Amino acid sequence: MGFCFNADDCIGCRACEIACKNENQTPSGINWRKVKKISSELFLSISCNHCENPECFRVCPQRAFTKRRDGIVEIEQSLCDGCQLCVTSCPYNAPQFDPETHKVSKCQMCYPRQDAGLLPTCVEACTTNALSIVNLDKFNNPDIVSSLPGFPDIQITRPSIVFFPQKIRKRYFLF
Amino acid sequence: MEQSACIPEIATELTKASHQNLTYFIQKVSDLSGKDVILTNNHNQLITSALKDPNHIIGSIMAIQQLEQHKDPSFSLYELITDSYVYRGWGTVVAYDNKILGYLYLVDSEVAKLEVQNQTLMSLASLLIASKLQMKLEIRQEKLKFKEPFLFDLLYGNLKQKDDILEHAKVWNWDFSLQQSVLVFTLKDFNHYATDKKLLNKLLYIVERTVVERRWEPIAMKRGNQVSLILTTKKEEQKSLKDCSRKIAEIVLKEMHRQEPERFFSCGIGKTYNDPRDLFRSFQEAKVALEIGELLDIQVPYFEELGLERILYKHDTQDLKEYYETILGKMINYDSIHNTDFAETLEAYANNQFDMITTAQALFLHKNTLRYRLKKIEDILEYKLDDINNRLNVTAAFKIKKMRKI
Ligand code: SF4
Ligand code: SF4
Repeated sequence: MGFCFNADDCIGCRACEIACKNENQTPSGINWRKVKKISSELFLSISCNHCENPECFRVCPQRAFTKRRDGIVEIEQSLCDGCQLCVTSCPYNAPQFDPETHKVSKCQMCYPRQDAGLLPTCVEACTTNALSIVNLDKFNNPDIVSSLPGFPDIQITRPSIVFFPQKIRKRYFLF
Repeated sequence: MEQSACIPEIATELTKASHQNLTYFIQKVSDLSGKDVILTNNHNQLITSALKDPNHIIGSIMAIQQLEQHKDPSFSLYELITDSYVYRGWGTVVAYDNKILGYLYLVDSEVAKLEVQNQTLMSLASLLIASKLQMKLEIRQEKLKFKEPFLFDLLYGNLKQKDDILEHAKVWNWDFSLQQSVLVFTLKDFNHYATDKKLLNKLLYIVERTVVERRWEPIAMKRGNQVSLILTTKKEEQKSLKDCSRKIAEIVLKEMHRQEPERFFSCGIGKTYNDPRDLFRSFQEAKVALEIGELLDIQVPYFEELGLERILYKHDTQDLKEYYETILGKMINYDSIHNTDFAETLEAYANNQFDMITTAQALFLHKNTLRYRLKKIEDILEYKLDDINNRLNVTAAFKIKKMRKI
């Protein structure tokens, strides 16, 4: 499973970010999903990308991470001792350290919702359908690209996300 | 009457023997028939044999030819050509539920006749063998069903108890109590179409075959565009795990290149761990090594040998550009203005461990010419190349360039 982000359709409304915060009741200052403005016309909505080669997972001394068969990278908070190695190793700033609990948390792709047959809450909340989830083993579309300007380097971790880039806009002039 | 009286005796003996393993059972068939016995699988590959002459040892069966059919069509006369001897004798199919599982042959020097008693013996024996082979097949299929999920869980850190892993691994006779490391092979530009999936199956087959040929356990898994292999140390193994992994990686890549010269396969090797709960780390490291190895053109990259490369790779690009500029900028400028290739010379010198002789050989230059060029490079760069710190800087700068960070 992976995310699919259509850059053309995202209007930067942050509905995904807010829905995530509500669903997961993350404390203030901790946002598992964040919407970034890259340029005047380009927004990116980024969370944990449940990478194929998760660096967070490799470096964690407590073996707190696992990758489920559907690809979701989970963190077992009870095992975390707050060393923050995962925080520094993730290129997408996905794992977030909570100084109160001294533990790290991150997007779990709403696996309890998915296990119950529902979509992740961010996907459901997206007003323009810019964000969706797809089965990357089967999803083949000639228009998709593996990265966009402003998205961090994908070479080592191989994030489970694909993008539809922005199309060159036609301009209409009103006389 | 006499015949029917001896059938129960054969039947009892055979049924009793069928509780033992196949080799014991075949030996029993040989004792009861007074003939040599050969059992093969459905591809006519040897499963086991019972031969009276101790000098006759069958390594493999090269060819089998049907000579004539018996009046009972379930028996035929065959010639079996093995790597050591040519046998002749009667054979019958071993089948379960109309599915052929193997062939049973009674061979001898005098084969003209198939005695009624041996005919009965073969029929009964083939029935008993069929149920044994079927049971083995079912166990194997059952094991296979659990193998992939187990390997997945192991490689993705889903198993947190060491004892559970060790216990579970025994199902396939895998021993994770000593050292182990992971190798990951990939096919570049993989797509999900059938041809590439077939290629991946071939890669898996070659990996497993290469490991089996070295009498190691093939603990391998295919996923997406990757084949992952776990190598475990054996107590009696002399060579280090690292040497064995390199050897296996090289053989597999060479074979894949020979068979599929148009496609590009690569391999990465993770660190060695003592605890199977850390196999996921070795797996991730192997994948990182593979990615960096592809960037730097290293054929079989080891994670632990890529320390500097990894640090550089993760570092901020702008910073790296400035560093590269500071270390080599003057020479790059000089080259572009004067149309010289000092950068190439220096890169070769760094790649050859700053050794004058090997660099001269690599560049087909006379040693004195190289010495002159290096002197000139030192003048341009305004630092000495025999200083260890400068050498480290030069090496790092060229690595940055190779990693396409510039
Ligand atoms: S995005 Fe970061 S936290 Fe998520 S799986 Fe990848 S490396 Fe780990
Ligand atoms: S902060 Fe927690 S989850 Fe992250 S590496 Fe350290 S122990 Fe593991």
